[in-house]
Amino acid sequence: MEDKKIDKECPKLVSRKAIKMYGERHIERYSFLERLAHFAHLTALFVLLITGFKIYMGWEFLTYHAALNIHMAFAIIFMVANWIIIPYNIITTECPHCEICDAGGIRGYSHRAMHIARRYLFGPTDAKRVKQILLNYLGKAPYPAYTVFDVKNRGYIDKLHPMTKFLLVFEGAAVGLVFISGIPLYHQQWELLGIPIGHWILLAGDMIGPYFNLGTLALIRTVHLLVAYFFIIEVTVHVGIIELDPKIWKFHKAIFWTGTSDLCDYHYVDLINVDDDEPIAQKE
Amino acid sequence: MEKSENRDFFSMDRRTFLKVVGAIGASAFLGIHSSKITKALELSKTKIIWIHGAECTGCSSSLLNGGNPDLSQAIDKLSVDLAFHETLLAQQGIFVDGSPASTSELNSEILLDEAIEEGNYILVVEGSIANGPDGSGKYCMYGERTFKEIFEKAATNATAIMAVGMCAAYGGVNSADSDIKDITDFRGVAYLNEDSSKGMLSILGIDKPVINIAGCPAHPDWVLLTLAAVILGKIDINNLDAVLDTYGRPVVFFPTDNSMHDNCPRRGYYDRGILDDDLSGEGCLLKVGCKGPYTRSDCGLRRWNGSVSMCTQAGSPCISCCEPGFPDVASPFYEMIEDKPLAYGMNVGTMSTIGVGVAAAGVAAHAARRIVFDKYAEDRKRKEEE
Repeated sequence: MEDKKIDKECPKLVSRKAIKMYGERHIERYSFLERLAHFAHLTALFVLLITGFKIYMGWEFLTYHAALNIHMAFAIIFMVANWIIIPYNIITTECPHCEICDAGGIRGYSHRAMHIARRYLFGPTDAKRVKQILLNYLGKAPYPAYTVFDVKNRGYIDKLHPMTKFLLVFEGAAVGLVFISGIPLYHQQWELLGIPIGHWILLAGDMIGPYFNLGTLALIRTVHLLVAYFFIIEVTVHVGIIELDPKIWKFHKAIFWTGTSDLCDYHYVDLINVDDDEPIAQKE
Repeated sequence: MEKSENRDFFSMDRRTFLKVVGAIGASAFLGIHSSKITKALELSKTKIIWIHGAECTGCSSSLLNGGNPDLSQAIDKLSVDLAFHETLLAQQGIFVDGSPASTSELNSEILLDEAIEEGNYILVVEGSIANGPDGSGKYCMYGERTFKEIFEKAATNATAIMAVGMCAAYGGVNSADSDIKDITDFRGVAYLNEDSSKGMLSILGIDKPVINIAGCPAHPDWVLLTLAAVILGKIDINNLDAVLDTYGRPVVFFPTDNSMHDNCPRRGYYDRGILDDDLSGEGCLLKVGCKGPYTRSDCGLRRWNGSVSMCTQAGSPCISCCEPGFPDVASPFYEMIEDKPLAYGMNVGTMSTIGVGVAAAGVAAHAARRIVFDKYAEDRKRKEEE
């Protein structure tokens, strides 16, 4: 009965084969911690942007002190999500169980690190995908599959959209910059365990400011504001361009709620190593 | 108030000092301690030489407006030897055939030379020092001599140097960006704008302790209290790092942990989101270009003109006249700092508008391609199949 249902709902042979091989129709795409980190990041970012612009523009809906307190609380959530949960998720992410990785040792860990790097960093394959996406806009190529799942070894080779990977580096830099510039705005002489971090940031500002004809504090405020605008642009691209496609609303559902992906849904997905004898790659 | 009377305010840490001043008012505080300050000047035998370079004499004028103590009060009882102050002394420079004539009783040039020769003095410099053209210093002349030459001589024999006002400390308006900036080449005593390697002392190869009293003009309290602290030995001129910030300013007046904005009399309006769009209102002046959030000074606590008013209180935005790089770093005065061009003539707002605009255009194009045309293509495919 179940097989008949799958046969009916899965139009692609490779999907049906994959389900049989994998033993399940739904595979985990995002773990609970990944979903939590994404949600915390998203919520914190919106609250930080709103309260930050209130502080900067003097909007009237909150008092300065209330806005500042909320801003600081969510800044902590933002940093915890970005610098603790997300790195933990990346390090512990489920990789394909290939023989080299399973062998362990330095070679095994290096191989695993390569898997992780490929999944999160923009590489040559992603550059080819971007080119194909641009051609697709002109109607000259199919939209490339950017999610690649190794059925035999039970793990994702690739998961993220190439533009998401491209933005990740800038996002990471922006998170760092907003944190660094935020410290002296919160307290110019902020210290952590006696380390005068605020003072060091101001010293760096003293050196960089003159290149932009700005005083130290002015430079720091400007950088903080600039990064805030970057986040708005990034969210616009992330949500508006990459995610605004009915065919990938399945990923929205996965990142916010279910955490799983349906092997029957073939859009933008490659299933590889489906047959022992003959790997099958399938594009839309 | 009584408690503070019984305390040596020079031994207070900055926090306590500000608390006391905040509690009883700067004016009252200085009133209480004015006798001590005057006494400090009286007891000392320290000689002071005050020289003027390229400047407007605004800092001397500001000093003359000092209230507690005022300058005449100090000078009346002065056993401090104010050996030379060009604006205040009676002598004039007299030259005959290019050489100073008469004696030091009549001729200020000779008076200055003699005072310098004796040595053992605190040198106060007001105004920047011309290095141009081509390192000659001839864009600022005193009779037959360049001010650069006078400064070199005076700095060499000085015990310590106080650079009073932005011109002397960092070059000020004389070093602002202009077509003639490189030709005139005005320098501060130890800095050129934010750069400590381009001050006149570095050019001349002189190593002396320097205290920068920033401000355009410098507040009389900043000048007199610093001078009194140096004379009393409350500031160790051989260990200035302990009391000065990275730009050589006394941290007690130019705090490193807060800005003018934090103590501004209009701060409450900012907190409530009342930001004026023009200069006639009573709200926060941030949107009309106030640079208070970027300015380290205690103007908000100390106030000016006998501690009764200050720029923002009088309705003018702070122009950040205490920050190295002034006036360029604070210009334009009546625009928000974020409106200042950062790169390719664009400010943060323009850059962001372009960025958001491009992203939004991308969103629209993408939505059209992925939703409208894809659906159209699918419909066509389905019809073909049918």
